[in-house]
Amino acid sequence: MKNRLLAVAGFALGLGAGLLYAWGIRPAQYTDTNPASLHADYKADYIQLVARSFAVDGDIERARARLAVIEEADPARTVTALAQRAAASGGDPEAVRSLAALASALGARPVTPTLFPLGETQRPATPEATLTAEPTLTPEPTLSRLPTATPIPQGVPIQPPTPTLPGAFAFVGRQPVCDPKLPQPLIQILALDASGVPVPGVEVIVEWGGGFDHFFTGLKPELGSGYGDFAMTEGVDYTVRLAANPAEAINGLRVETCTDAGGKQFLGSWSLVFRQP
Amino acid sequence: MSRASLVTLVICLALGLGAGLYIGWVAAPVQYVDTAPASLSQTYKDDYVLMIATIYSGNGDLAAVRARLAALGFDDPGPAVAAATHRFIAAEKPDADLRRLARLAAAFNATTPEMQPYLP
Repeated sequence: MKNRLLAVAGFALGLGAGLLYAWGIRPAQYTDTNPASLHADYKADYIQLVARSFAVDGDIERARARLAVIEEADPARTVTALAQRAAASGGDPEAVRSLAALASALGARPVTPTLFPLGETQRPATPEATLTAEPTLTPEPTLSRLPTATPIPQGVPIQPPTPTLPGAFAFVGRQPVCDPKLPQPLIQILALDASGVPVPGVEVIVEWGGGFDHFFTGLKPELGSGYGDFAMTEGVDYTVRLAANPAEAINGLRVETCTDAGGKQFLGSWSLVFRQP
Repeated sequence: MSRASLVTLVICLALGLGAGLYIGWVAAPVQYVDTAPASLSQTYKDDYVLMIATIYSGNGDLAAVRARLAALGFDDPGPAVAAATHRFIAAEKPDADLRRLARLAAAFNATTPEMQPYLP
Protein backbone atom coordinates (compact mmCIF):
# COMPACT_ATOMS: atom_id res chain seq x y z
CA MET A 1 0.00 0.00 0.00
CA LYS A 2 2.78 2.32 0.99
CA ASN A 3 4.70 1.55 -2.18
CA ARG A 4 1.62 2.24 -4.27
CA LEU A 5 1.17 5.60 -2.61
CA LEU A 6 4.82 6.38 -3.18
CA ALA A 7 4.48 5.38 -6.82
CA VAL A 8 1.46 7.61 -7.35
CA ALA A 9 3.06 10.50 -5.49
CA GLY A 10 6.30 10.09 -7.40
CA PHE A 11 4.54 9.97 -10.74
CA ALA A 12 2.43 13.00 -9.91
CA LEU A 13 5.47 14.89 -8.72
CA GLY A 14 7.40 13.96 -11.84
CA LEU A 15 4.49 14.84 -14.09
CA GLY A 16 4.11 18.20 -12.44
CA ALA A 17 7.83 18.90 -12.70
CA GLY A 18 7.83 17.86 -16.35
CA LEU A 19 4.89 20.06 -17.24
CA LEU A 20 6.35 22.96 -15.29
CA TYR A 21 9.58 22.65 -17.22
CA ALA A 22 7.96 22.09 -20.62
CA TRP A 23 5.24 24.70 -20.34
CA GLY A 24 6.75 27.21 -17.95
CA ILE A 25 10.52 27.09 -17.71
CA ARG A 26 11.48 26.03 -21.19
CA PRO A 27 8.43 26.05 -23.40
CA ALA A 28 8.52 25.62 -27.14
CA GLN A 29 10.41 28.49 -28.71
CA TYR A 30 8.54 31.73 -29.19
CA THR A 31 10.64 32.62 -32.20
CA ASP A 32 10.42 31.47 -35.80
CA THR A 33 6.68 31.69 -35.88
CA ASN A 34 4.75 32.08 -39.09
CA PRO A 35 2.15 34.65 -40.09
CA ALA A 36 -0.69 32.23 -39.28
CA SER A 37 0.03 32.70 -35.58
CA LEU A 38 -0.08 36.48 -35.70
CA HIS A 39 -2.57 38.34 -33.58
CA ALA A 40 -5.67 39.28 -35.57
CA ASP A 41 -4.62 42.93 -35.74
CA TYR A 42 -1.16 42.03 -37.00
CA LYS A 43 -2.68 39.57 -39.43
CA ALA A 44 -4.83 42.38 -40.80
CA ASP A 45 -1.68 44.50 -41.13
CA TYR A 46 -0.01 41.63 -42.95
CA ILE A 47 -2.91 41.32 -45.40
CA GLN A 48 -2.78 45.06 -45.88
CA LEU A 49 0.92 44.80 -46.73
CA VAL A 50 0.20 42.02 -49.21
CA ALA A 51 -2.50 44.15 -50.84
CA ARG A 52 -0.39 47.30 -51.03
CA SER A 53 2.51 45.30 -52.34
CA PHE A 54 0.28 43.76 -54.98
CA ALA A 55 -0.86 47.24 -55.96
CA VAL A 56 2.77 48.02 -56.80
CA ASP A 57 4.10 44.81 -58.32
CA GLY A 58 0.85 43.35 -59.70
CA ASP A 59 2.09 39.83 -58.96
CA ILE A 60 -1.07 37.94 -58.04
CA GLU A 61 0.69 34.59 -57.65
CA ARG A 62 3.04 36.08 -55.13
CA ALA A 63 0.09 37.65 -53.32
CA ARG A 64 -1.65 34.28 -53.28
CA ALA A 65 1.44 32.61 -51.84
CA ARG A 66 1.74 35.26 -49.17
CA LEU A 67 -1.89 34.91 -48.21
CA ALA A 68 -1.61 31.13 -48.14
CA VAL A 69 0.70 31.27 -45.14
CA ILE A 70 -1.93 32.89 -42.95
CA GLU A 71 -3.91 29.66 -43.40
CA GLU A 72 -7.31 31.20 -43.96
CA ALA A 73 -9.84 28.90 -45.57
CA ASP A 74 -10.91 31.49 -48.13
CA PRO A 75 -8.31 34.24 -48.57
CA ALA A 76 -10.44 36.15 -51.07
CA ARG A 77 -13.28 36.33 -48.59
CA THR A 78 -10.90 37.37 -45.83
CA VAL A 79 -9.46 40.17 -47.95
CA THR A 80 -12.94 41.26 -49.01
CA ALA A 81 -14.13 41.35 -45.40
CA LEU A 82 -11.09 43.37 -44.43
CA ALA A 83 -11.73 45.80 -47.28
CA GLN A 84 -15.35 46.16 -46.22
CA ARG A 85 -14.35 46.76 -42.61
CA ALA A 86 -11.77 49.33 -43.67
CA ALA A 87 -14.32 51.09 -45.86
CA ALA A 88 -16.99 51.02 -43.17
CA SER A 89 -14.62 52.44 -40.58
CA GLY A 90 -13.60 55.26 -42.90
CA GLY A 91 -10.11 53.86 -43.30
CA ASP A 92 -7.42 55.14 -45.61
CA PRO A 93 -8.96 55.13 -49.10
CA GLU A 94 -5.68 53.92 -50.56
CA ALA A 95 -5.79 50.94 -48.22
CA VAL A 96 -9.37 50.19 -49.19
CA ARG A 97 -8.53 50.50 -52.86
CA SER A 98 -5.62 48.10 -52.65
CA LEU A 99 -7.61 45.60 -50.61
CA ALA A 100 -10.51 45.82 -53.02
CA ALA A 101 -8.16 45.34 -55.95
CA LEU A 102 -6.59 42.31 -54.33
CA ALA A 103 -9.97 40.86 -53.41
CA SER A 104 -11.11 41.33 -56.98
CA ALA A 105 -7.96 39.78 -58.38
CA LEU A 106 -8.35 36.79 -56.09
CA GLY A 107 -11.99 36.26 -56.87
CA ALA A 108 -12.50 38.14 -60.08
CA ARG A 109 -15.22 36.72 -62.26
CA PRO A 110 -16.68 37.99 -65.44
CA VAL A 111 -19.56 40.33 -65.00
CA THR A 112 -22.32 40.99 -67.44
CA PRO A 113 -22.93 44.67 -67.03
CA THR A 114 -26.55 45.58 -67.53
CA LEU A 115 -25.66 48.49 -69.75
CA PHE A 116 -23.06 46.72 -71.82
CA PRO A 117 -24.45 43.80 -73.78
CA LEU A 118 -21.64 41.49 -74.78
CA GLY A 119 -21.06 40.24 -78.24
CA GLU A 120 -21.28 36.51 -78.72
CA THR A 121 -17.53 36.20 -79.04
CA GLN A 122 -17.03 38.07 -75.80
CA ARG A 123 -19.69 36.46 -73.73
CA PRO A 124 -18.25 34.69 -70.72
CA ALA A 125 -18.97 31.01 -70.33
CA THR A 126 -20.92 31.55 -67.15
CA PRO A 127 -22.56 34.94 -67.26
CA GLU A 128 -23.80 36.36 -64.01
CA ALA A 129 -27.52 36.19 -64.45
CA THR A 130 -28.33 38.08 -61.29
CA LEU A 131 -27.15 41.36 -62.70
CA THR A 132 -28.94 41.07 -65.97
CA ALA A 133 -32.07 43.14 -65.87
CA GLU A 134 -35.32 42.46 -67.60
CA PRO A 135 -35.96 46.06 -68.50
CA THR A 136 -39.62 46.88 -68.47
CA LEU A 137 -38.82 50.57 -68.36
CA THR A 138 -37.58 52.40 -71.39
CA PRO A 139 -33.80 52.74 -71.31
CA GLU A 140 -32.28 56.08 -71.95
CA PRO A 141 -31.49 56.39 -75.65
CA THR A 142 -27.90 57.47 -75.06
CA LEU A 143 -27.10 54.11 -73.57
CA SER A 144 -27.46 52.34 -76.87
CA ARG A 145 -24.35 54.13 -78.09
CA LEU A 146 -22.18 52.83 -75.33
CA PRO A 147 -19.18 50.82 -76.43
CA THR A 148 -18.99 47.19 -75.53
CA ALA A 149 -17.17 46.35 -72.35
CA THR A 150 -14.33 43.89 -72.28
CA PRO A 151 -15.12 41.29 -69.65
CA ILE A 152 -12.45 39.91 -67.40
CA PRO A 153 -11.71 36.37 -68.52
CA GLN A 154 -12.39 33.94 -65.73
CA GLY A 155 -9.30 32.95 -63.80
CA VAL A 156 -7.13 35.62 -65.34
CA PRO A 157 -5.84 38.07 -62.78
CA ILE A 158 -6.61 41.68 -63.32
CA GLN A 159 -4.01 44.38 -63.18
CA PRO A 160 -3.78 46.35 -59.98
CA PRO A 161 -5.51 49.68 -60.13
CA THR A 162 -3.65 52.75 -61.10
CA PRO A 163 -4.22 55.68 -58.77
CA THR A 164 -7.55 57.32 -59.40
CA LEU A 165 -6.97 60.84 -60.59
CA PRO A 166 -9.52 63.56 -60.01
CA GLY A 167 -11.92 63.61 -62.88
CA ALA A 168 -10.53 60.39 -64.26
CA PHE A 169 -14.00 58.89 -64.52
CA ALA A 170 -16.85 60.28 -66.52
CA PHE A 171 -20.48 59.40 -66.02
CA VAL A 172 -21.63 57.33 -68.96
CA GLY A 173 -25.26 56.73 -68.21
CA ARG A 174 -27.88 55.25 -65.97
CA GLN A 175 -30.50 52.67 -66.57
CA PRO A 176 -33.37 51.32 -64.51
CA VAL A 177 -32.93 47.74 -63.44
CA CYS A 178 -36.05 45.66 -63.01
CA ASP A 179 -34.81 42.42 -61.57
CA PRO A 180 -37.31 40.68 -59.30
CA LYS A 181 -34.49 38.52 -57.97
CA LEU A 182 -32.87 41.47 -56.24
CA PRO A 183 -33.91 41.35 -52.59
CA GLN A 184 -33.99 45.14 -52.30
CA PRO A 185 -33.74 48.14 -54.59
CA LEU A 186 -30.13 49.06 -55.22
CA ILE A 187 -28.00 51.75 -56.76
CA GLN A 188 -25.57 49.61 -58.73
CA ILE A 189 -22.33 51.20 -59.83
CA LEU A 190 -20.03 49.89 -62.50
CA ALA A 191 -16.64 51.57 -62.89
CA LEU A 192 -14.68 50.81 -66.03
CA ASP A 193 -11.36 51.91 -67.36
CA ALA A 194 -10.91 53.31 -70.85
CA SER A 195 -10.78 49.85 -72.38
CA GLY A 196 -13.89 48.68 -70.55
CA VAL A 197 -12.16 46.65 -67.86
CA PRO A 198 -13.87 46.90 -64.45
CA VAL A 199 -11.96 49.04 -61.95
CA PRO A 200 -12.03 48.13 -58.25
CA GLY A 201 -11.50 50.55 -55.39
CA VAL A 202 -13.42 53.48 -56.84
CA GLU A 203 -15.00 55.47 -54.04
CA VAL A 204 -18.66 56.33 -54.56
CA ILE A 205 -20.53 58.89 -52.46
CA VAL A 206 -24.29 58.64 -52.04
CA GLU A 207 -26.20 61.59 -50.63
CA TRP A 208 -29.81 62.08 -49.71
CA GLY A 209 -31.77 64.59 -47.67
CA GLY A 210 -29.91 64.80 -44.41
CA GLY A 211 -27.46 62.02 -44.93
CA PHE A 212 -24.68 60.55 -46.97
CA ASP A 213 -22.67 57.36 -47.19
CA HIS A 214 -19.86 56.04 -49.29
CA PHE A 215 -18.71 52.71 -50.63
CA PHE A 216 -16.13 51.28 -52.96
CA THR A 217 -16.32 49.19 -56.07
CA GLY A 218 -14.78 45.75 -55.94
CA LEU A 219 -15.93 44.80 -52.45
CA LYS A 220 -18.26 42.18 -53.92
CA PRO A 221 -15.83 40.46 -56.24
CA GLU A 222 -18.34 37.76 -57.01
CA LEU A 223 -20.34 40.43 -58.85
CA GLY A 224 -17.40 41.89 -60.70
CA SER A 225 -14.34 43.85 -59.72
CA GLY A 226 -15.78 47.19 -60.84
CA TYR A 227 -19.12 46.65 -59.17
CA GLY A 228 -20.46 48.27 -56.04
CA ASP A 229 -23.97 48.87 -54.74
CA PHE A 230 -26.01 50.76 -52.22
CA ALA A 231 -29.41 49.80 -50.81
CA MET A 232 -32.12 52.36 -51.54
CA THR A 233 -35.09 53.27 -49.40
CA GLU A 234 -38.43 53.94 -50.98
CA GLY A 235 -39.43 57.58 -51.25
CA VAL A 236 -35.90 58.95 -50.87
CA ASP A 237 -34.13 60.93 -53.59
CA TYR A 238 -30.47 60.04 -53.94
CA THR A 239 -27.54 61.81 -55.51
CA VAL A 240 -24.48 59.83 -56.54
CA ARG A 241 -21.01 61.15 -57.26
CA LEU A 242 -17.53 59.71 -57.37
CA ALA A 243 -15.11 60.92 -54.73
CA ALA A 244 -12.57 61.42 -57.50
CA ASN A 245 -14.94 63.69 -59.39
CA PRO A 246 -17.31 65.28 -56.87
CA ALA A 247 -18.41 68.01 -59.24
CA GLU A 248 -20.34 65.57 -61.39
CA ALA A 249 -23.48 64.65 -59.49
CA ILE A 250 -26.09 62.23 -60.70
CA ASN A 251 -29.33 63.44 -59.17
CA GLY A 252 -32.86 62.22 -58.85
CA LEU A 253 -32.29 58.55 -58.21
CA ARG A 254 -35.28 57.09 -56.43
CA VAL A 255 -36.91 53.72 -56.18
CA GLU A 256 -39.13 53.12 -59.18
CA THR A 257 -41.83 50.55 -59.54
CA CYS A 258 -41.36 47.73 -62.01
CA THR A 259 -43.88 45.27 -63.33
CA ASP A 260 -43.04 41.69 -64.14
CA ALA A 261 -44.48 39.61 -66.98
CA GLY A 262 -47.37 38.50 -64.78
CA GLY A 263 -48.33 42.08 -63.97
CA LYS A 264 -46.95 41.92 -60.46
CA GLN A 265 -45.29 45.07 -59.23
CA PHE A 266 -41.97 45.19 -57.40
CA LEU A 267 -39.30 47.75 -56.54
CA GLY A 268 -36.67 48.47 -59.15
CA SER A 269 -33.04 49.47 -58.93
CA TRP A 270 -30.68 51.74 -60.85
CA SER A 271 -27.50 50.90 -62.66
CA LEU A 272 -24.95 53.67 -63.18
CA VAL A 273 -21.82 53.36 -65.28
CA PHE A 274 -18.68 55.44 -64.97
CA ARG A 275 -15.82 55.13 -67.33
CA GLN A 276 -12.33 56.51 -67.67
CA PRO A 277 -11.99 58.49 -70.88
CA MET B 1 12.10 4.59 3.77
CA SER B 2 13.16 1.21 2.54
CA ARG B 3 15.37 0.82 -0.46
CA ALA B 4 12.51 -0.71 -2.42
CA SER B 5 10.30 2.27 -1.66
CA LEU B 6 13.01 4.66 -2.71
CA VAL B 7 13.51 2.82 -5.98
CA THR B 8 9.77 2.86 -6.62
CA LEU B 9 9.64 6.58 -5.89
CA VAL B 10 12.55 7.37 -8.18
CA ILE B 11 11.23 5.23 -11.01
CA CYS B 12 7.75 6.74 -10.79
CA LEU B 13 9.22 10.22 -10.50
CA ALA B 14 11.20 9.61 -13.69
CA LEU B 15 8.15 8.17 -15.41
CA GLY B 16 6.07 11.17 -14.37
CA LEU B 17 8.77 13.56 -15.51
CA GLY B 18 8.98 11.83 -18.85
CA ALA B 19 5.21 11.91 -19.24
CA GLY B 20 5.14 15.59 -18.35
CA LEU B 21 7.83 16.46 -20.85
CA TYR B 22 6.12 14.36 -23.52
CA ILE B 23 2.82 16.12 -22.93
CA GLY B 24 4.42 19.56 -22.70
CA TRP B 25 6.66 19.29 -25.71
CA VAL B 26 4.97 16.78 -28.01
CA ALA B 27 1.36 15.92 -27.22
CA ALA B 28 0.18 19.35 -26.12
CA PRO B 29 2.97 21.86 -26.57
CA VAL B 30 2.48 25.50 -25.84
CA GLN B 31 0.47 26.98 -28.68
CA TYR B 32 1.61 30.37 -29.74
CA VAL B 33 -1.26 32.44 -30.94
CA ASP B 34 -1.66 36.18 -31.10
CA THR B 35 2.02 36.65 -31.76
CA ALA B 36 3.64 39.82 -33.01
CA PRO B 37 5.54 40.25 -36.29
CA ALA B 38 8.79 40.48 -34.31
CA SER B 39 8.50 36.76 -33.55
CA LEU B 40 8.28 35.73 -37.19
CA SER B 41 10.98 33.51 -38.59
CA GLN B 42 13.76 35.08 -40.63
CA THR B 43 12.20 33.95 -43.89
CA TYR B 44 8.91 35.65 -43.17
CA LYS B 45 10.63 38.72 -41.79
CA ASP B 46 12.62 39.01 -45.00
CA ASP B 47 9.47 38.75 -47.06
CA TYR B 48 7.89 41.34 -44.79
CA VAL B 49 10.83 43.65 -45.46
CA LEU B 50 10.47 43.02 -49.19
CA MET B 51 6.78 43.96 -49.05
CA ILE B 52 7.68 47.11 -47.16
CA ALA B 53 10.34 47.93 -49.76
CA THR B 54 7.87 47.29 -52.57
CA ILE B 55 5.31 49.61 -51.05
CA TYR B 56 8.00 52.22 -50.42
CA SER B 57 8.99 52.06 -54.08
CA GLY B 58 5.41 53.01 -54.89
CA ASN B 59 4.73 55.78 -52.40
CA GLY B 60 8.09 56.88 -50.94
CA ASP B 61 6.58 57.08 -47.47
CA LEU B 62 9.61 56.57 -45.22
CA ALA B 63 7.70 57.31 -42.02
CA ALA B 64 5.36 54.41 -42.74
CA VAL B 65 8.37 52.23 -43.49
CA ARG B 66 9.92 53.06 -40.12
CA ALA B 67 6.68 52.22 -38.32
CA ARG B 68 6.35 48.90 -40.11
CA LEU B 69 9.94 47.93 -39.53
CA ALA B 70 9.60 48.85 -35.86
CA ALA B 71 6.69 46.41 -35.67
CA LEU B 72 9.11 43.78 -36.92
CA GLY B 73 11.41 44.60 -34.03
CA PHE B 74 13.85 46.60 -36.14
CA ASP B 75 14.40 49.79 -34.20
CA ASP B 76 17.51 50.42 -36.25
CA PRO B 77 16.08 49.78 -39.71
CA GLY B 78 19.16 50.44 -41.85
CA PRO B 79 21.19 47.38 -40.86
CA ALA B 80 18.07 45.20 -40.89
CA VAL B 81 17.17 46.24 -44.43
CA ALA B 82 20.78 45.85 -45.56
CA ALA B 83 20.99 42.37 -44.05
CA ALA B 84 17.74 41.32 -45.71
CA THR B 85 18.97 42.75 -49.01
CA HIS B 86 22.19 40.75 -48.76
CA ARG B 87 20.22 37.58 -48.14
CA PHE B 88 18.07 38.27 -51.19
CA ILE B 89 21.15 38.99 -53.29
CA ALA B 90 22.76 35.77 -52.10
CA ALA B 91 19.59 33.88 -52.96
CA GLU B 92 19.63 35.44 -56.44
CA LYS B 93 16.12 36.80 -56.14
CA PRO B 94 14.60 38.76 -59.04
CA ASP B 95 16.31 42.02 -59.90
CA ALA B 96 13.11 44.00 -59.41
CA ASP B 97 12.99 42.88 -55.77
CA LEU B 98 16.68 43.61 -55.28
CA ARG B 99 16.27 47.09 -56.71
CA ARG B 100 13.41 47.83 -54.35
CA LEU B 101 15.36 46.57 -51.35
CA ALA B 102 18.50 48.44 -52.37
CA ARG B 103 16.50 51.62 -52.80
CA LEU B 104 15.07 51.23 -49.31
CA ALA B 105 18.52 50.53 -47.89
CA ALA B 106 19.72 53.69 -49.62
CA ALA B 107 16.93 55.64 -47.96
CA PHE B 108 18.46 54.60 -44.64
CA ASN B 109 22.03 55.27 -45.84
CA ALA B 110 22.74 51.59 -45.43
CA THR B 111 23.98 50.73 -48.89
CA THR B 112 26.91 48.37 -49.40
CA PRO B 113 29.06 47.60 -52.46
CA GLU B 114 26.98 44.48 -53.10
CA MET B 115 23.92 46.66 -53.64
CA GLN B 116 25.51 48.98 -56.17
CA PRO B 117 24.35 47.01 -59.25
CA TYR B 118 20.78 47.46 -58.08
CA LEU B 119 20.95 51.16 -57.35
CA PRO B 120 20.18 53.82 -59.94
